[in-house]
Amino acid sequence: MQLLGRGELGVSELAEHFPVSRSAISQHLLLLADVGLVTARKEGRRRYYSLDTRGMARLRESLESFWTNELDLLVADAARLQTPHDPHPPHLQGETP
Amino acid sequence: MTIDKSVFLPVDPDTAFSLITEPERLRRWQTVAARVDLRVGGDYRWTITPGHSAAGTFTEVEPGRRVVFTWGWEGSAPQPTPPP
Repeated sequence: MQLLGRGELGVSELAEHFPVSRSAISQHLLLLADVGLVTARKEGRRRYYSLDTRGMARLRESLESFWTNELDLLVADAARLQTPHDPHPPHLQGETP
Repeated sequence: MTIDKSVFLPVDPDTAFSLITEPERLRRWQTVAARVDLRVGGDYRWTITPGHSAAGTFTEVEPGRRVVFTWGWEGSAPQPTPPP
């Protein structure tokens, strides 16, 4: 997909970059097309692939929201550790202050 | 695709480091279970929600400063190796 980021490529051109068979690459591309991350264009017997910009935007959004949620939880937890019973942050690694 | 995220944690660096590396601390925010071998080349496996686990390998570990690791969802394609 990184290769496709630079523009449309044929299956053989893509396959050159991987140690697996051309048919494995083809199958993987079909799967990526199936989930809407790439689109295929047929020219004669050859197929050319490019990134599906809408699918890529959806992927980015879901990755963003996953990490936003997770990091919000991390910040909330860090803030809780900072709370008042003890004015000093707890020592977590067992050292004595 | 690259995603950058920054957050500020209102704790000292060692506390922040333990929040993202120690299993019992990870359980407080990200995971339901975690196995962590915190050293360069060491593996981790985090169960994020039951049935969904992420796993990878630590590539840089500087206690209290920096930690870098590969990331992949278990059951999907192997995670990419980071550039040397």
